[in-house]
Amino acid sequence: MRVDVHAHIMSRDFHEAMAKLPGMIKRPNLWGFELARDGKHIASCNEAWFDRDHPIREMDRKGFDMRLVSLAPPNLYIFPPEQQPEVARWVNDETIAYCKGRIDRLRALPSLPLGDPAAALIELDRIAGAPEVAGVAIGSNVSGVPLSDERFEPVWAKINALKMPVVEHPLHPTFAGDIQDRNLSVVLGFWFDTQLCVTRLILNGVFERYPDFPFIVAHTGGGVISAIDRLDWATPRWAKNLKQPASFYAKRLYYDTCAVYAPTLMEAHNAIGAGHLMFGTDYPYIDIDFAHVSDLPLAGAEKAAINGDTAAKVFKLA
Amino acid sequence: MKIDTHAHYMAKTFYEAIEAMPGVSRKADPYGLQLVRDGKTVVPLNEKWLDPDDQLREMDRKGFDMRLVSLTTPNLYIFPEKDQGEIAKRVNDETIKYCEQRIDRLRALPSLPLGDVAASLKELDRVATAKGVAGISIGSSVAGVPLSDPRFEPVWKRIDELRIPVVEHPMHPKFNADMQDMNLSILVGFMFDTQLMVVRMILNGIFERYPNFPFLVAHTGAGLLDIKHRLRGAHNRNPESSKNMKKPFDDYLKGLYFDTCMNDHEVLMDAFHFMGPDRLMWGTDYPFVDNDTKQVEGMEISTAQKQAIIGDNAQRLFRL
Repeated sequence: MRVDVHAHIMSRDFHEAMAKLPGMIKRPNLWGFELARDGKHIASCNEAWFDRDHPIREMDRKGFDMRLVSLAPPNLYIFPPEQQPEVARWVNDETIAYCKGRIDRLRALPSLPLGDPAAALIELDRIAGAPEVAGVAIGSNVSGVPLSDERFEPVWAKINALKMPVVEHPLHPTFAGDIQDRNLSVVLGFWFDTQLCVTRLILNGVFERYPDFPFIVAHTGGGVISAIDRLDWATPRWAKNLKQPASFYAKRLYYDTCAVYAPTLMEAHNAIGAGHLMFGTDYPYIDIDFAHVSDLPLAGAEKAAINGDTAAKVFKLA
Repeated sequence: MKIDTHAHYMAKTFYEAIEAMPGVSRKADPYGLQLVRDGKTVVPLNEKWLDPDDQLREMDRKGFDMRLVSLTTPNLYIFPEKDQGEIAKRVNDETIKYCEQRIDRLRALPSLPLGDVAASLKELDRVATAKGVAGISIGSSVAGVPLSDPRFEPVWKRIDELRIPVVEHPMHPKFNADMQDMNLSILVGFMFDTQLMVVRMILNGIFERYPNFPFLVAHTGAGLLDIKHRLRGAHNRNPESSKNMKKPFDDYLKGLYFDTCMNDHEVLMDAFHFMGPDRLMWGTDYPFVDNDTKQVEGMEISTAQKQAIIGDNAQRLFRL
């Protein structure tokens, strides 16, 4: 089974709701159009991506069996906390309905209104039993608040109890304003934020306290895997309460292949194993095909694991 | 020959100048002490590091032949701009004198008072020809200003004329107030700042306009190679970036040198394959991480290639 674990659903209603937020402007950019606010890039989109048959056509053309779809940045967290529960309900319902008619090809990764942790627990319960739902999507920070912040402890406890897969996606970092030149907030800032997010979740013991849910990190970790030795060096100094070195937790996570670059993927393979890598396209942005995995110097069974077998097991897709 | 290209000399004049600044205080830290200001780390401090012989005893004990020493973060850029020129002279003179007394073992990488560009040009000319000087040390950003900022153009021009090697060291990123927990400003912030610096230098055409000086990047590129596919794509899509570059993004990367201080086998092998055997140089990050040569010895490459990384490349590049 060939499964794409990193892909986005582009909702026209969601984009229109974002565009109506105070101060938001819409203007053309290299992708099609962008939303921006306070001189900061918020999201890129293209009208063609709103066409609901577009992802399926692309999947057929490239030979993918299954795709997990989630909101693209900025996720729900761009809305004021008090609006997030309502937006979560209708946009998650839209995503689930979209997958419903195509459950053999698409599964949903709904988002949680984390600006309101109590509402996030309710939304989690509401969507968790739906057959179209494979897991939840989570951003690398929640309007600047790290995912390891204490306020999210009940959310992790609940996710852990449900053994619900969580798929991380980078968001603009708190310091995006300092790296607006040449689209660096997306190009590098997204990677930095994923690295910060995973480092904090590990060093703050979230994965130690809640070891029972699968966590999939975007873009092959955004640099976390390269920093494993540096994190182990740091554990006894700045994360003394961890029972294991940081690498122990990092190696239990899953990573998508969206770094794309073969040496980075081989480095990840050698450090954490083929069984912890999952194929992703980053549709409709990078939108890659299987070549970046097929070309790796790996055995057939390892490639099959990366291309979908592991995802089929972890997300219970079969 | 074992030549360490990433190590620090904790100049007394440097610490004195920091402690003389308003609002700086001492706080306990896993290294011993830390100087802090406004709740943010300025620099770690351990009394042992202030003993200039300690460094040589350690080198003897570990069998290291030669070491290049520079200031550590925050370099001179923490000082008021108008004072940087004077402090640079004091700190560089102390460091150069320290090295010249043991010139068979130590060479200096003096710092430039980049808060004051005119003073930097003077300091560059003043130190460039000193016997004990092997190159220049530079921070990944100057009090939050990117190294690719137009104000530094005369500095790159002069460095390029002198063909003096430049050794980069990470600084706390401009945005490090958001990552003070668990020492993250050093753990990940340093890596971010080095990555941002290299990408901005390439996209803004510094290496295109000034191609004649060697540039050594700390921490094996600080994870930059992981992100290569994304950088390539971003550059191809962005006409604003490509106008400064006559060659593909990767060609500029391959023109740099990387030290080995990421200390990760897979990262080193990746860097070796991409950069080639001549562009990696061993470093210890003394007295912080303080590595030996084990990681390099463990690479799946020939003995001659290991020797190149551990010493031959640096010997040639820094004319040691």
